[in-house]
Amino acid sequence: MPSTIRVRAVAGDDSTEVQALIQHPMDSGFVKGHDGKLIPPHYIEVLTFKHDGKVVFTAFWGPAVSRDPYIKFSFKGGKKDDDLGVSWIDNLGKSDSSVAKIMG
Amino acid sequence: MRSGRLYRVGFAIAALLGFVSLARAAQAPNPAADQRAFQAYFRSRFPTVKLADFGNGPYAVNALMRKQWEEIMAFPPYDFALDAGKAAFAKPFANGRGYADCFPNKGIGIRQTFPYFDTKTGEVVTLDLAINRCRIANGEKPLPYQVGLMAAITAYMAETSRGKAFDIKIPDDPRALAAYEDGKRFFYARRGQLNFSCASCHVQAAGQRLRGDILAPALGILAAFPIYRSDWGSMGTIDRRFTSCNAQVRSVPFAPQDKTYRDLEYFLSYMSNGVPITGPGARP
Amino acid sequence: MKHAIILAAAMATALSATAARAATQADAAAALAAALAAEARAGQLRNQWLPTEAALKTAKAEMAAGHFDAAVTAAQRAEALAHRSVAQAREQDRAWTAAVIR
Repeated sequence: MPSTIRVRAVAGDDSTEVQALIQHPMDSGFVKGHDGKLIPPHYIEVLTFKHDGKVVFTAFWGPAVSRDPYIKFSFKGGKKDDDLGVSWIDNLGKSDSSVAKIMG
Repeated sequence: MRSGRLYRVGFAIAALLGFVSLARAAQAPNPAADQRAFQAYFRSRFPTVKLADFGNGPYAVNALMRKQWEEIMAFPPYDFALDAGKAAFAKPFANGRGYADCFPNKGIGIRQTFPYFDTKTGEVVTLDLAINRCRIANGEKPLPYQVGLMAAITAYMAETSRGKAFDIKIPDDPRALAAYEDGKRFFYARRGQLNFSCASCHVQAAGQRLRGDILAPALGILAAFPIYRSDWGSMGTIDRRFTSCNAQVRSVPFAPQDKTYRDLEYFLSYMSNGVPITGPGARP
Repeated sequence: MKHAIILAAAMATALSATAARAATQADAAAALAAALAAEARAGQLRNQWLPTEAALKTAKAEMAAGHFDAAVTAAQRAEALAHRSVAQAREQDRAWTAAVIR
């Protein structure tokens, strides 16, 4: 199973810009499938970015976020070749994580 | 006076002869001339767009959309499908053989040669059809067209062919010409309750807005397939585009890989000879 | 003037006559059969329309539910749409050549 997370972090002068794309169905629980039955809710609840052992960004997501979500933010600090950890956990308890190198 | 009259009669005869020869030219299928006219039309309609850029569809003709697209391409939404397609392509079938054994050059860098006309069976063979025939020949079940694994595998095969220009040939075979003519006819004939043809949108209104979308020019329109459409929220093959276009003009779509759809793909790809493959693509 | 009045009166009687008589199952079946035949012709020309299919579905459902008036209305709508799609296919059989880029 290939990773569900794509990250690209670029260090600037005093902050790092992070972009990430996560593969996830993000089913809200309100949509019916082809069989006419409700598709059970399945969405990411917590998304965390860690740098140097510290959480730099947390997102509490829910059913309103689209499928295969994309996120972009920046944080103070971070330099080239630092590790940036990403992890998510969804309402079914599934999770994935990945570590990316910050680019210069 | 007299010479003037003679001149006029002569002119009328010349015009008549010209008309007759034109009418004859219109009747005998001449794909090469069609292709020249087709490409010349779009080149003069969008004079700043290079032939190679037509494979980028709406982004070739709309600067604002191009900017958004370039941002999106930092994380192409088809990336996940590409990974899945690559894995599926490499995974051998139950009998140990694989997709690579069914195609020339092990299936790498060959997207631009599809669809081709098979002179043995007398029909147009698309990449999607060839993939499923490969599966059947190796004792596997065919994949459903339009979405899922089929889109993923064609995405991978297109990606390995990026930059290679469409190279569709029409063999010297009356059946190949008939298939070409059938596709051409379908492209230009209006259908559905809304009375639209393919050409209504992708020739006459190319580059203009259809609600929030910019209509892609017909030239090079298939170079980007399969595509991730944000509107669909998933990948889709050429079949998915053809069937949903038909349904949008309120016409009952044909089954995927119907002969007419394959002929249409043949016509459109031949018209786009020289436009490089850009697939898989991302469209709004 | 006199003619016009007679004509109007005749039309009024004709209208009230049809309106008064509710459609029977046989009427609905006949209307549906006509619509299906027209749609089959459109199918031979490979030019069926989605609204025709929708109207046919409605007609069948109304017929099954015993609403014969509604079934006749839907079937007639389907038949009219199918005729339009057949006419479109026949017209486009020649007209498409005019749109070709030359």
